[in-house]
Amino acid sequence: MALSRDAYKALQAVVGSKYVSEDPGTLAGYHYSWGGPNGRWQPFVPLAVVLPEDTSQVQGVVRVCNRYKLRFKAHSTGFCSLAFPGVEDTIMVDLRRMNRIVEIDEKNMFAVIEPYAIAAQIQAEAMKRGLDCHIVSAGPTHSPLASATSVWGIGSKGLSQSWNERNLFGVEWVLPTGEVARLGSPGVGAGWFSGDGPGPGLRGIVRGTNGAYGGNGIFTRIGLKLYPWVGDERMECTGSQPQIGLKIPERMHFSLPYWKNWEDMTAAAYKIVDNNVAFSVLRVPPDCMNWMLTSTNDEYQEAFHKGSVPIDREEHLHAWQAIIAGHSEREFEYRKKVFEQIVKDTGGKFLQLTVEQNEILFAANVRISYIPRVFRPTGDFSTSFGMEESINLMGKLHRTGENLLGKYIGPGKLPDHGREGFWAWLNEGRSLHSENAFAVTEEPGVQAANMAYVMESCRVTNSEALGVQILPGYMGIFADSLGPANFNANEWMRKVKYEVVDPDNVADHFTYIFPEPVVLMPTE
Amino acid sequence: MSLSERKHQMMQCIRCSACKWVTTPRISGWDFATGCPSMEYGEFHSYSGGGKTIMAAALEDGQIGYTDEMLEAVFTCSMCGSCQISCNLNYGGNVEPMENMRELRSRAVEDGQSDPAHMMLIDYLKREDNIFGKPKADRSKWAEGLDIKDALEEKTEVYLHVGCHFSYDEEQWPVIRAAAKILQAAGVDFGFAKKEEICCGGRAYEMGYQQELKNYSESLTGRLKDAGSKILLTCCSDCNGTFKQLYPQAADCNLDIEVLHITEYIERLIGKGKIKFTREVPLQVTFHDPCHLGRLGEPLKAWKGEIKMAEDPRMYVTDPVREVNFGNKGVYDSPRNILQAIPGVTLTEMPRIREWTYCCGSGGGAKEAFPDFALTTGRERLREAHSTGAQALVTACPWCERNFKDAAAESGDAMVVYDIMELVLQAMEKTG
Amino acid sequence: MAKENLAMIVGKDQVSDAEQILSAYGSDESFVSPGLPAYVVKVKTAQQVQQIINYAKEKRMPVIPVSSPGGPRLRGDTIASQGGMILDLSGMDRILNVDRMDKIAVIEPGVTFDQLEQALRQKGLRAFKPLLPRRTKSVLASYLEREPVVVPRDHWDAIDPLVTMEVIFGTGDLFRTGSASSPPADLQKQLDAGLRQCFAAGPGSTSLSRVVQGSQGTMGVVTWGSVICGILPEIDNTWFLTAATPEPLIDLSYQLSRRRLGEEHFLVNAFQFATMMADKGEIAALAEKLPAWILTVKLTAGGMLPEEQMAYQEKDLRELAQARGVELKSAVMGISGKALAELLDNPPEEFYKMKHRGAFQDIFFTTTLDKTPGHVAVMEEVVRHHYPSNEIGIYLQPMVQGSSCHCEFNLAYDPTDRAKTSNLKALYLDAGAKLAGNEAFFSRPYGPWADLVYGKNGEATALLKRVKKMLDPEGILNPGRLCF
Ligand SMILES: Cc1cc2nc3c(=O)[nH]c(=O)nc-3n(C[C@H](O)[C@H](O)[C@H](O)COP(=O)(O)OP(=O)(O)OC[C@H]3O[C@@H](n4cnc5c(N)ncnc54)[C@H](O)[C@@H]3O)c2cc1C
Ligand code: SF4
Ligand code: SF4
Repeated sequence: MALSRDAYKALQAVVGSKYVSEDPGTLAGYHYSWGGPNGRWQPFVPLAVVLPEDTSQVQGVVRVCNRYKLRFKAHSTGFCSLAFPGVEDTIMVDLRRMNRIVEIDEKNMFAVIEPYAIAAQIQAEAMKRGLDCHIVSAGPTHSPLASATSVWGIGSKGLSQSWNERNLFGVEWVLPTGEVARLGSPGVGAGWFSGDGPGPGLRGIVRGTNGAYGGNGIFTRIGLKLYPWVGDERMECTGSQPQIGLKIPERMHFSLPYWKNWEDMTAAAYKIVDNNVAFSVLRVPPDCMNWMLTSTNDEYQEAFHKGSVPIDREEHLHAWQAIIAGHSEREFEYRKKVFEQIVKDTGGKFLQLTVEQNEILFAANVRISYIPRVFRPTGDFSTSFGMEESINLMGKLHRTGENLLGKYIGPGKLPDHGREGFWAWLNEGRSLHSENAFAVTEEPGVQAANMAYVMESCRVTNSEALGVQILPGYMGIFADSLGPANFNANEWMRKVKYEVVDPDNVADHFTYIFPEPVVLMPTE
Repeated sequence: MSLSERKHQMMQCIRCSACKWVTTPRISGWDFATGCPSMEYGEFHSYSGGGKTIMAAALEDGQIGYTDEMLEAVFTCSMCGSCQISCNLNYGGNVEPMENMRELRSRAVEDGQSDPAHMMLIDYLKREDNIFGKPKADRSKWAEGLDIKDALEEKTEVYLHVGCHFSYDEEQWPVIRAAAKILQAAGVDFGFAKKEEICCGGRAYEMGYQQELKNYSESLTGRLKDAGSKILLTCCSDCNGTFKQLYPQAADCNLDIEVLHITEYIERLIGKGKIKFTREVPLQVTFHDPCHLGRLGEPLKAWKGEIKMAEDPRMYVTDPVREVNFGNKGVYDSPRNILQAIPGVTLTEMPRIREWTYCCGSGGGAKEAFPDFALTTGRERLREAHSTGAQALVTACPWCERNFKDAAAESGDAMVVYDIMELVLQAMEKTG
Repeated sequence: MAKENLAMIVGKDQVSDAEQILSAYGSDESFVSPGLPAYVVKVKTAQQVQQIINYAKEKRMPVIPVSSPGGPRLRGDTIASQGGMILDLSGMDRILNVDRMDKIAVIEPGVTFDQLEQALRQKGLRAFKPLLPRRTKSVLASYLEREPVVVPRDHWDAIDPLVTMEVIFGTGDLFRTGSASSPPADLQKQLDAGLRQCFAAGPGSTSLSRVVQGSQGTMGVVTWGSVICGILPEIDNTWFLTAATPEPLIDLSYQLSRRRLGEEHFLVNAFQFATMMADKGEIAALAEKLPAWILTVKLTAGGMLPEEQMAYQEKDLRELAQARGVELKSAVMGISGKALAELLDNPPEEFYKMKHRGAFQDIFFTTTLDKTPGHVAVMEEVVRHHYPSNEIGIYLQPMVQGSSCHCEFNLAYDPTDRAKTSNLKALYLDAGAKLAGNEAFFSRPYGPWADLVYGKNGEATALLKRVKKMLDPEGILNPGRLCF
């Protein structure tokens, strides 16, 4: 269907003619995405793309969609692999003109942000005020608003910065009906410090482990919790492009302790948590660290074959990258001492890296640049086997995941980058986040293996009792397969979407929940 | 590499939007974080390096054809290379958005879809060897009364390539004359090709006219061979980028001579004691890194080879190994060292500098085709200069200077814009 | 008829319509109008709860869930305004699991703080508690009401310390939230497999536990929940920081929050402190002598190097205080930090707020700490000529790691004095309205505050009503509360 002239004019009347386009060239960039099982081009070309400037324009666009029986799909930066239209007759709402950091409340440690304020900007502004912004693995260019309202929100500084489902305060939400709901304190004009109440916390229908990826309306402004930062107000870059590190500030320390097995590493994790000594701990596969420590694939290949990559696939398999931080010199020294003792007591050793390497990995941890680089080897990556539960499950999780992934690695299947792809960290010290992120190519065999692995990992997560799944998440086509095992969560999602939020299904449901069940595979 | 040959790289774009920003580790606040003037102007994704890459892929794929809107996005771009540097940060040359854009423009030219303003420039170029359409005969007018050798007639150690802009923009003659005086004062044996000087071809290449680059590079190679000079010196950053990066990379041309930008050369002369600063220039300045002096002036070797999938561990590699444009080897320190050597000058840096500099807005034929874009971009950079508290914005490229001056005039901005040569000369001249 | 049907579900002696039993639920300490339930039904299992709800749904009979085994009930939220039954969950009082490693417990709704604390201590853990809860207070009910806990450091998010729950919605569906929803469904089997119900969000793209929290029993009935706990410290030292105005202490409190320094940490005025610490009849006298504002901080240490940990914390605290010209004291007016700590650990039999004059009204809301002096000023203006301003107890509790603050004004009165009572009622309503006009966020809108907030935000309120319809289509759960 083409966009009717009336609808087109109505959109122009809302956002101004400069900010509506139905040009095929312009639209090309709005149905192109990484991570799709069918390659980069996604099947549904939007009818038009609009660039609203503020909430009332967003509301106007949504109303036009209602009036002309169109669908809409919003995105903030569009980096997420689910930011393209999943259905026909869609108006793409690109929120990039809503790019402000409205406020940083330094004392109360939160920011009020719009969709296109990116993580790197918020972090830089926060650091000037002794604060830090939680950044998910998508890295510095993603939208924390999108992360907190619509996607996952998990990132490796979770130990001290939780995750974005919990970092979300007040919410401004243009519902698919065109109403504007303000949840929490902003709803009564009291500021943005809280998203819960009055009474029930409607954040619970904004999102769960996952958001709706645009399937429940458009979020235009949020309060986002920030966290203390003891480092410099402005981080000093070291090294040179692309191996840019950060000077490790006073009262911060980066190290890479490793253990012989998952059990010892788990024991250390509990001690780290109980003694409250670390700012962040992160486990990524050795290959990923080596990618970070080399500037190109060519350089990596050469180093790999020479045996000169610094992180060894076997010896450094069970390793945390740890950052220790202290608000005072005393606190810092105490924490460092206890941390070192913990490593010793649990049979760990520290891997010695050069200053430059330490700075690069420190930067990767603080600015969160690992995942962007995971695209380098093959141009695409996938993730699965992601769950949140007790730290005690670490060994079981990794072993199960490794065995499973092992089956799908090989010629014509998934690339062998060390036979495992586990990323893990501790959220608030209260749970373990664990996921398997690995590089894939667009070759059909690889994609088939990837899909099969993702499905099997869902099944195994349930059969082996490994906790609640975050990845691949409940997005769209997976919801009705996963939901029955989780007390029919899919049916509640369906009710939320079609009874509470979007009775006319105006917001693209493809990545959220279909009107009728779509079962890909039984997972029980 | 033609557009078809770049299909793999284009499809490597992951639409991460990193190309819209300066390299992310350099982001130091909300403001001055963006890297792509085109995106700031056009707003739709298609204006970014990644967006144009996707359009190029769609065109190549037959999904889209040319439309006015699509071409506007393609040509409202100063070909500044910021996108490329930001993309290469993590993807190590897998995508190279600017290379894709260069090929897209070339394809547009082949398909008769060049920008009308660009067609006119090329017409001028073909007639007069400069894109301003000014008579060849006037090319050396700037040098009247300066007694400079003709490098094609006499052997000189230094072959000065003045460039079209300095040659024809009368308002900028004081700058190029200053450069000549500095060289003379330092006793440098130099000359230039007088009326016979020809365009470097860089601008034409960036507008999509690739053959022009090849033609001009061949002419220059021949002349340099005849001249037998040791150094090819240019005062124009655009020419600097053309000689150091485009000729080897895109024209398969090895000039076989040391190429220097005037700032590099002056730094050398200061080092050798040939230039001495005797006069205070009390001025708080900030320095604008011209794209073609920095990231796009990074010397890159020609590469012919293939991108293939290594089997163990599986990943894309290049064979033979290709250099990647990270921008580190641009000229960044020379102008700064010069400024710091001038008594009285204090340099305060802008947030966006060196390989993550923000373009002035005039490159790639954008100023000629979309003057409003160029002025908007120039104003943004002036705003950034103001944020440092500087009294003057110093640069080292006539294109940048012209655009800043136009932007300042148009918006009534009081920022003073200098070419670094002007300050050098001021500091050398005896008081009174 | 109904009685028999209910008895079929829970057993005869678990259903009562005896006047004396019903009247215990007919009114409470709040100004909410009394209303008698028709029955009080005691349940023991989730299955019973489910059956009751299904029955009530069919009969459209109001169900008011109550978890605490005893009163005084304070907020009018368990009054059967439209009749129906009190669903008494206090008999579901098992502690289903305590895990030291993950510092988490699974408890039923009837479990009180005392009970939980005892079980936790045996494993080296401690409960996160609100300020001096009444002895009979259900832990889950407290957390479901978002009562602020005194340890803001470990209060990361509004839902804390609650993590996951089993809940039966008004639809009659049994649901589990967060990681407790993952297979196997049987709780014991989950525990055996190493699962600890320690992740709150989900399942899927909803976090319905957030909707249940703060709903005053209008969305579902929680039959168990997992709650995070703290580690029992090896050493603890409670300090007082005092000042004549709240500002320097507010500044200090922000610093403590940033550094996550100290566990218990809250700010009270002299009268509040006296109400908490003094014996009946001595409150006003003590308040007179106390410094106007007191910030309490409990430093704790444990783990590998407890002495060193305590030492650095004390030095840091002292430095922070000195920089603001605030004195660090181990006792005020002879009341030691230790005494306060002990009281916090073992709240008195009599609910402390009743001590002064036999009854009280508390006005509380969420705000940010920096705005509290402004709220205090509004309150002082409201009470002028109507209530002695030096007898307002003020309690400021940083929440969500200091990003927001619970602000509470306590007004004691003699309930037998009708004039004073009605004066206080007028004052209470006036203060609510004025404070709401001053950006006070009545996030827990009990009684009359519901109208203050729901009227203001039409679209979110409409949304909330649709959520209610989804979870309780017949509107049987605690009707008359909030905006339902
Ligand atoms: C390489 C990579 C790695 C990632 N790794 C992680 C990870 O480790 N942990 C994690 O939590 N997440 C991860 N993500 C997902 C990440 O959370 C999202 O990409 C990001 O948070 C959202 O920001 P964005 O700018 O990419 O959003 P977009 O791409 O703009 O949007 C993401 C989704 O949200 C919807 N959306 C965006 N904005 C709005 C809005 N204002 N209102 C309504 N809907 C909206 C879009 O329709 C889309 O479906 C990763 C993503 C990438 C690309
Ligand atoms: S061109 Fe590069 S930086 Fe830009 S979107 Fe594509 S991959 Fe990202
Ligand atoms: S070359 Fe410059 S203006 Fe053009 S797309 Fe790249 S960053 Fe933008």
